[in-house]
Amino acid sequence: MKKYQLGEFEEIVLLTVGVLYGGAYGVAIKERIEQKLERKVSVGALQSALRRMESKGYLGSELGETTKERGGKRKRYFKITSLGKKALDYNIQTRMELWNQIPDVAWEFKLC
Amino acid sequence: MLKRLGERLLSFYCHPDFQEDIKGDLEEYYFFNLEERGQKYASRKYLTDVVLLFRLTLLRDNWLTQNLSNIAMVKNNLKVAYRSMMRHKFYSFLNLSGLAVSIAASILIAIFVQHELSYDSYHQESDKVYRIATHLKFGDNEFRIPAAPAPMAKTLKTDYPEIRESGRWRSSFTAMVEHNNQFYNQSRISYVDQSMFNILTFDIIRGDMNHFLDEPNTTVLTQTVASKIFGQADPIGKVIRFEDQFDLKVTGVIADIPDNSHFRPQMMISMLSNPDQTSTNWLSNNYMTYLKLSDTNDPQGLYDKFPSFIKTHFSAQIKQFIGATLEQLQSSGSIIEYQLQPIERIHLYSSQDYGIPSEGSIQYVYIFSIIGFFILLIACINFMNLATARASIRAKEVGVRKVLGSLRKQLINQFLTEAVLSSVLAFSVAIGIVYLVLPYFNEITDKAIVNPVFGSGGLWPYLIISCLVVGLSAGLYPAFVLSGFSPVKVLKGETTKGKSGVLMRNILVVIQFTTSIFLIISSLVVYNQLSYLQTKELGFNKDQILIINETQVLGESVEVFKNRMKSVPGVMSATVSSYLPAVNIGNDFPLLRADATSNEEAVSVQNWDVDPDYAETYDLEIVEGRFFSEDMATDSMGIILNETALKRFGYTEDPIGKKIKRMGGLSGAQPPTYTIVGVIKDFHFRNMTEVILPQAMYLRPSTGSVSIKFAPEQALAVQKAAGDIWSEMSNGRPYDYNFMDDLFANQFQSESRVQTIFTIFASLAIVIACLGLFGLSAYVTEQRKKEIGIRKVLGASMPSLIGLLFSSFNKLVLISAVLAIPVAYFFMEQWLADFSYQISLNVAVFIIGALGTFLIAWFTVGFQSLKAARRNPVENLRTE
Repeated sequence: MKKYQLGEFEEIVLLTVGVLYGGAYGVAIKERIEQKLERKVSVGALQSALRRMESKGYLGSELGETTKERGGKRKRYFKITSLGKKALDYNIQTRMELWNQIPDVAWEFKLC
Repeated sequence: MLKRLGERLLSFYCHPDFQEDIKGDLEEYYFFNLEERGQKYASRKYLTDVVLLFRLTLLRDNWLTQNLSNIAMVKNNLKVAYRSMMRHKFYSFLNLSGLAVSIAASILIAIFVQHELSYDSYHQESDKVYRIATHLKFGDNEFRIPAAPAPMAKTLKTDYPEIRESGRWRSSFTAMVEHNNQFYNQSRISYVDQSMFNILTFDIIRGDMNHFLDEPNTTVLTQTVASKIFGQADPIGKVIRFEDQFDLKVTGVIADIPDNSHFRPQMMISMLSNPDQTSTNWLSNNYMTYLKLSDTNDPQGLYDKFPSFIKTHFSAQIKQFIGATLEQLQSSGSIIEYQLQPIERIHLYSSQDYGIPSEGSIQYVYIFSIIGFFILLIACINFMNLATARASIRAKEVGVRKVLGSLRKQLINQFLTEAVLSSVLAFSVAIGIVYLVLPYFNEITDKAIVNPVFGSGGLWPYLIISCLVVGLSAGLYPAFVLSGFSPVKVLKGETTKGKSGVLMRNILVVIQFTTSIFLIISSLVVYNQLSYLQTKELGFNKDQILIINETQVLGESVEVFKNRMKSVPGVMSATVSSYLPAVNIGNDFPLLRADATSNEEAVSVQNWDVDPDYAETYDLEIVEGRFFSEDMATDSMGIILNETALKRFGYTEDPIGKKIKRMGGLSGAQPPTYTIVGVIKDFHFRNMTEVILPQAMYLRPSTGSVSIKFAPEQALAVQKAAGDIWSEMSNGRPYDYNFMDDLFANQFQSESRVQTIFTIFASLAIVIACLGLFGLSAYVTEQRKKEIGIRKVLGASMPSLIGLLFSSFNKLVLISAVLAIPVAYFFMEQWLADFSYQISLNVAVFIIGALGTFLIAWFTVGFQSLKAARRNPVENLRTE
C-alpha cells in the first residue's frame, strides 16, 4: 500500500507552495513553476492539483484580505501542513534511498 | 463578451467554495494578458482557461459525489434483506418459489402473445399491404371468403393508381413431384403471381427475384424442399416433374418462410401454369388477392370506391348468370362486398371477421394475457400478505431502528430493497425455468421459439422493467405499513397488529380466491365444451379407417387397387373418393329445385363425388331411399342429399324422385338436372365447430384417395397388405397413408392446444394461490399458538379447535365464491356464444368450482391447523 500518494506534478506544486511561504496563491505558484521549470502550466491543472492536495490534507489554505485589485476578489493562500511535509519527506527519502542503491557499475557507460 | 460567458460558465459548474479565489486568479491573468497582448486575446484566454478548469475535483456537489454515501446505504439494505431472508427460510422459500413459478408462467404467456402478435409484421411496409376479403349474401346463403375473383387483382391495379402492386396466389395442395426417378409427396404447393414477390418479403437465397415466376412452368422452392430434392447441388435451372404431367424449371430458392407468416407455401408454381388464372369470371372467388397501396395508404378511400367498381365490372355477368340486375339483387337484400384486411391482422382477426378457420384468434390472445396477469397478481398478493403478516416479527427491528434515528424514508427504502431483491432473484430463477420448459412449451403451442428472452427482439428490456414494477408494487404496501409503526408501542411489547392490516390482508385473500374460483370454473367450462365437441355424435364412423392418399397416380387402375384391397382378409369395405369427412374440403356450388323460377332460390351446397361403397365404409345412415348402386344405370344422374339440404330445398315430404338442377353456367347451355335417389342423415363432414351445411353426393369418380374400413384385430395385417399391393401397382410412387381418427384429431389441434394451455395455467394459478394461503395459515396458527394451548388445557376438543381456525378462512372463500360466480357466468356465456354447438352452462360447474376451492383451502389450512391442535399444550405455553 502506498503510504503517501503524491504525483510528480503534485510534488512540484507542493514544493513551490513551500518556496513561496506566505505568498503562495494561484497566480504566484503558476508563475514560479513556469519560471523555474520552463514549462507551461494550465490554470485547470494547477487548481485541481491544489484542491486535490487540500482534500488529502497536504495543504491548508486561508483567504486573504479584500483588495481593489482582481475585481475585489480575495486571494487564497496555501500552506504546507505537517502531513504535507511528511509526504514530501517520504517522497524525497525513498528517491534518495533508491539513488544510493544504484551500483557504481551502472554509471560506467560503455559502447556496447 | 467571452469573458462574461466564461464567468457564467464557471459560476455554473464550479464549487462555490472555490469560486472566489479562482475567479480572482483568472482576473489577474486577464489584466496581465490585457496589457501584454490586447483585449481580444485576454478574453479568449479567459474562456479557454475556464473550459480547462472543468475538473472533477472542482465541480459542485453532484450525483457522483453524493452517491458515495448512498452506495453504502444500498449495500447495507441488501445485507439486511439477505439476512432477513435467511432467518425465515420457510417464508422466503414460499415467497420466492411462488413468485418465480408465476413469473415463469407469465413470461411464457408473454412469449406466446408476442409471437401471436408478430404475425406478418416482418414484411417490408407491411402496413400498406392488404388482402381482399369477400362478403357475399345471396338469398339465404352467406359467405365470408378470404379470396377474390381471378381478374380482380389486375383490374383494380389498372383502375386505381393508388394501388402500387397487386398479386394473387391460389390453393395449397399436396402433389407428387419427381426428380431423377425419385418421387416425393410435396405438401403446401401454391400457384403464385410473380408480383407477390414485390408485395410480401421473402428471404432470397438463389435466383433473380425479379424473374422468379414470370414464365409458365417455373417454380420457386424453399430451402428445405430444395435440399430434400437436390441435396447440396445448385437447383437453379434443374427440372422437376410435376404429377407426371409437366416439367417445372426451378428458378429460385427462398429461405424457409418464418412461422409467423399466414402464407407459408413450400413450393410456389408460376400462376401462368394455372389455366384458370386468365378467367374473366367475376362471380367465382378462388384467388387470395393482395394489394400494396401507395404511400398515402388510404384503405378507407379505396374501400369507398369498390361499389362503383363492382357496378362497372360485375353487372353484365350478374345479369347473364343470375338473371337479375345488380340493383335488383341489392334491393332484395343480397350483398356483394369487398373489404381490405390489413395483412398483420389476418392471423388473429380473420377467423372472427371472415369465418375462415385459422390457428390464431385475438380472443385467445386476450384470454391468455388475462390469465398471465392473474397469475402474476396472485403471486404479488402472496408476497404482500406474507410480508404484512410477518409484520410483528419485524416490528421490533423497526422499533429499534427508529429509536436509533432511522428515518421513515430509509425504512421504506430498506423494505423496498428487500422486495426488489426478491423480485430480481425470482426473475432470474424464472428465466431459468422458462429456458428449461421451452421445448415442452413449443410442443404444446406448436411454435418453434428459440431464445425468447435474450435473442433479437427478445423480452429482456420488458423483463427488467417488469422486474422493478413487480418488486416495487409487491413491496410498496408492506413498506408503508412496516415503516409506520410507532417505536414506543412496538418496544413496549404491544405488537401493532393493526385492524387495517388484517382488513387489507383479507381483501387481498378474497381477490386471490375470486380469481382462483373464476379460473377453476372457466377451465371446467372450457374443458367440457371442447370435449363435448370431440365426443359429439358425428354421424359417421371415424375409427378403423385407413386412408391411402394420392391414389390418382394409379389412374384407371385405382378400381383394381380398391377391389384387391377388398379381398384382403379383415377388410370390411373400401371406397374411392377424394372427399373425406373432417378434412375441410370445400366444393360449393349453388343448386336449385327443378321447378324454381328465380335464381334467388338457389341453395349453396357442398358437392361430393363418391362411389357406391361410400356409405357402407363410413357407416352413413340412409334416412330415405337408398344409396348409389352400380347396378342402376340411372344413378349417374342421381343425387343424394343430406337432411339439411332437403330442408333448404323445401322437399320435406316424399323427396325421392324429385328433381334438382344446377344453376345455369356462363356458357348459357342447359344446366343438368339430377333426380334424388336417397337422403342421408346429417353428419359432420367439416369442422366440428361449424354448423352442418347442405350437402349433396353424386356418383362420379374422384380418385384422390382410397378409404378402407377394417376389422380392429386385423389392423396390422391390413396396413401391411395395403403397402404391399401399393408398391406392386404404383411403380415406385410414394405410399402415403393416414388413419381417419388421426385426421379427425388434427381438426382439434388448435382447440385441444387451447384446452391444454388453459388447464396448465389455471391449475398453476390455483397452486400459487394455495402456496400463499399455506404461508398465511402457518403464520396465523403460529400467532394463536398460546390461545390454542390455553383452550386445550381448559378442555376444548380437537374439532372445535380446528373449526375455530377454519372459520375465518371459510368466510373469505365464501365471499370470493359469491363474487366469482357471476363474473365467470358472464364471461363463459360470451365465450360459448361463438360455438355453433355448445353445452349449456350447468349449475354443477359453479358448485364444483366453489366447492373445489373450499376443499383446496381446507386442505391447505387444515394441515397447519391440525398440527397446531394436536401439539402438546405444554409446548405452546412454555416461555423460552
